[in-house]
Amino acid sequence: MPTIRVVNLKKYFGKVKAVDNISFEVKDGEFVALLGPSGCGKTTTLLMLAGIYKPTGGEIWFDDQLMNNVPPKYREIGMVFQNYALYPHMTVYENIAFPLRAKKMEENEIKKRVHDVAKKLMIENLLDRKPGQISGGQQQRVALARALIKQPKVLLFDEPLSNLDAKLRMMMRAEIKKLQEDLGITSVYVTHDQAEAMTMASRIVVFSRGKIMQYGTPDEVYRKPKNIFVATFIGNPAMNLIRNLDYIKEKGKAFLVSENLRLELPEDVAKKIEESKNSGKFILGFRPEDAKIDQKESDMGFWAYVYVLEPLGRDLIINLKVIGTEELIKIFAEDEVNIKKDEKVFVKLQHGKIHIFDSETEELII
Amino acid sequence: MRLSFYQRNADKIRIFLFILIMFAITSPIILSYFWLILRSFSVDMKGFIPTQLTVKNWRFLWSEIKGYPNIWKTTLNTAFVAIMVMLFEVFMTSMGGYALSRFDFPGRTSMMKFILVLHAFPSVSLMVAIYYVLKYLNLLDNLWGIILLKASLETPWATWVMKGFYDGIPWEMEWAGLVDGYSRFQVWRKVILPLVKPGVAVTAVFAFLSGWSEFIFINTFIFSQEFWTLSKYVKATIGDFRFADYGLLSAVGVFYALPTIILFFFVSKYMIKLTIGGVKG
Amino acid sequence: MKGKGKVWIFLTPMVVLVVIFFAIPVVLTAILSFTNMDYTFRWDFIGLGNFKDIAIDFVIPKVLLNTLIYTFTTLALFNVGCALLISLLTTSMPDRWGSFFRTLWMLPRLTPSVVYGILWLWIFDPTEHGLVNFIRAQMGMPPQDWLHQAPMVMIIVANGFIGASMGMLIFTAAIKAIPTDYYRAALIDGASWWMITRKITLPLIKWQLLFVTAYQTLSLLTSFEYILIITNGGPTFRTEVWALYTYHMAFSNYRFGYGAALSVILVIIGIVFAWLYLKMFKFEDLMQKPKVEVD
Repeated sequence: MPTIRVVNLKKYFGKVKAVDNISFEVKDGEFVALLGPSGCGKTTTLLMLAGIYKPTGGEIWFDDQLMNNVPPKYREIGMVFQNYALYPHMTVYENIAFPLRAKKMEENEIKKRVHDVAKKLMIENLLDRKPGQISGGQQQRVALARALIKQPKVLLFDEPLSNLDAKLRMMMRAEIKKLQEDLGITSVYVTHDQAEAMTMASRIVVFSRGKIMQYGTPDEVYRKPKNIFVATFIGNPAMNLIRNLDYIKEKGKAFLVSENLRLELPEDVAKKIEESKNSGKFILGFRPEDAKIDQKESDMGFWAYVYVLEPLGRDLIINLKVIGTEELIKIFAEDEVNIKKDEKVFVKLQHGKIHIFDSETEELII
Repeated sequence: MRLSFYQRNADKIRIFLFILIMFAITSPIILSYFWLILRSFSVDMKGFIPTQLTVKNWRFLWSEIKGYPNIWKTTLNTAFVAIMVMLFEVFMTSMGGYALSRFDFPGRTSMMKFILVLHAFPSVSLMVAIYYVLKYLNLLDNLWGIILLKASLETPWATWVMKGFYDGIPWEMEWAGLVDGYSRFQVWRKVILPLVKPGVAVTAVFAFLSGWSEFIFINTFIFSQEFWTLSKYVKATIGDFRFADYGLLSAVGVFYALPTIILFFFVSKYMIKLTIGGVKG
Repeated sequence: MKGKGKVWIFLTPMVVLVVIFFAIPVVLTAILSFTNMDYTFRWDFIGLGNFKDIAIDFVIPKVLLNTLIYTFTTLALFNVGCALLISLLTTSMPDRWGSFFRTLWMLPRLTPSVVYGILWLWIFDPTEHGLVNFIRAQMGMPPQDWLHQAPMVMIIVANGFIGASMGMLIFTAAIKAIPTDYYRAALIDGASWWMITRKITLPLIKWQLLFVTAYQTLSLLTSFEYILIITNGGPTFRTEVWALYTYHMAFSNYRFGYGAALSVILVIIGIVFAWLYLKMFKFEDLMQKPKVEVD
């Protein structure tokens, strides 16, 4: 299976820069997700990998073969589409056999292969039906079968689960992951659903407006977001941000302050800030699960009012308004915490679990 | 993996080939319109090259051709028919389309089916009877007869098309108007009608074009030269000058076709809607 | 019943005119066909006399044959064949080019019929001034008198270039409505243009193909305007089709009764076809109930 290398890839539609100078690599047999909001260029990138779109600039390599001008049929790829793109007038059998018919394969061989792949995907009993007569989940399997039947070296997925209901989606998520691991086919998976990307992929490319925001393992993009975009895009609820902070030193101690807020920083964090190139304004970020509610003041944290409570059954999300600012934050709390609306509480942050970004570049400092 | 030149460029080669084929089968259209315009300004032509340019072919604009009515009077008649047909159709279809789209009344479905049948129905097969009806109404050799006839034959289908435009307006608009205390008629006048302006415009343009181009009815139901329209005028020049004066023939033709061709470029993209409406398989 | 009163404010103008110029003529045609009315407009009922005349009219077999040749050749070559070819080709090239060609093919339909007639009279002009003969002359061939050599070809081609546009519009719209992902999937699966056309495009537009075929059969059976302008049925009935013969009988020979009888046959064909459309194509889908119950 090939290693895919994308180098300085660009795709412009007129003046619109759908994909703007991106580079990444997908290793042999790896499962990589392209994650981003709609219109961020991830599907465009996938269609360039498929050969449906031609790049405006840059290069696409499969191993040492430059693919830019290779038509789709010679790329040895399989693709699963968002709406499955099953041909409505053909039976499931004919749909799956379609790629082999394009190769003018012998009828016996086609039959054997279709049955093999149908068996693997547990759709053997559906072969005589038309796509309109089977359920969404079954259509999904047929689409997978059609992508797999020609034994592709690269698998491309374009939001394949977004048309399924939540329960089925969770099931297919695991199944596709298992299938990919068993077959070891290099795979690229486009999605706007972070849960899918986090659970399935070994690495994630986070996209925004045609550019790559971060490329790393699920843990890296969650724990060490490179910028505000990744920090807020990944995680649900999103990372809390407190903006517009200044850095000051008093009596050897370091603080992040705004008009009515004062947050003492540990020494290592202070050192990182001083060493960094920065604009002098900062954004503090922390995940909802990385803060605790307390009644009394302690070393690192700030006071806030309880704004709204959102009970989720197992968890409780407390919405708080930081005193002295307009910022709203969300914090996970255990159910038994007994607090009321409008109560004044202290939000206690944990060492090593805070992120500080530069206000101007929105890049991570620590 | 080595790909041949053809394999790499199959797409481009195919598209190039298709464009060539399209040029080949479209050539009669391109060549003949090109010829028509050029010929109207030439004394004579060798193939597609004018031997000498002239405006003499356009003399009919400033001096009358013997035995023919005045061109401007004829043009005025043509415009009169076209504009009246347009007004009638716009008036009837903007109301009828709304009724079919938004009112529930007994016979609604059968009425719509009836309209579709009428559209499929060959109106030319009724000409004998129409002749009799026009004669009875004293509308033979009268432009009003042509106008009413034309408008009523085209209105059913145009109503169906307008209904399509009305269908495209969200029901919430209507609901909001009614909740705000207007009657249905007021809602139609003040809220809905302004929203279907594009539909009205398209209907108007097509009605105008069809009135402007009408030939068969004029040829059959109009006898006096004073009521001639341009179609009759051009038909007569074909009969009289076909072999004698292609220059005059093409100049008259260009003069007549010009408004339609200008309007055509505005409306060609709406053509599909008018030809077929929303027929699905 | 709701809206019973007010709805007629909206519908009356249309209904009145349609009754006068559509409904009454249908009935009148039927009645007239049993008379031998002429330019004196006397009501002389002669029973089935006209239909007996049709049966023995020596021109009728020729007219019938012409009508069939004209209708089905034009239909196959242009109204469906050429229309399909144009739609398939123009949707497989950049859309700038595609709409350029489709726009050109719309031009004949919107050109006044008499002006369009001039174009074909020139193309088939018997002297070297005409397009076809001019091209022949370039290849050293003598000019031909096409009106006498091949009048049927003239009217088929002339009508075809107009008739192709309707099919072209419908097929193009249908092809463009096919989800792009079908084509992308097929490309990735390695299908050629021809295979995609045969296995995906054509099966998916088969309803439109059927519709255009049925619809245009009726249009062609009853059309005569361009024939009237270009050959007027000549020379000697060689391009005289049924609808034109009807017209000539009524308005050149003033045999209104006989013309009506000839028309009745067209009217019946028209009704049968119209009924077929309603059965074949599910128009009910287009007729949802209104969502307001206020008058």
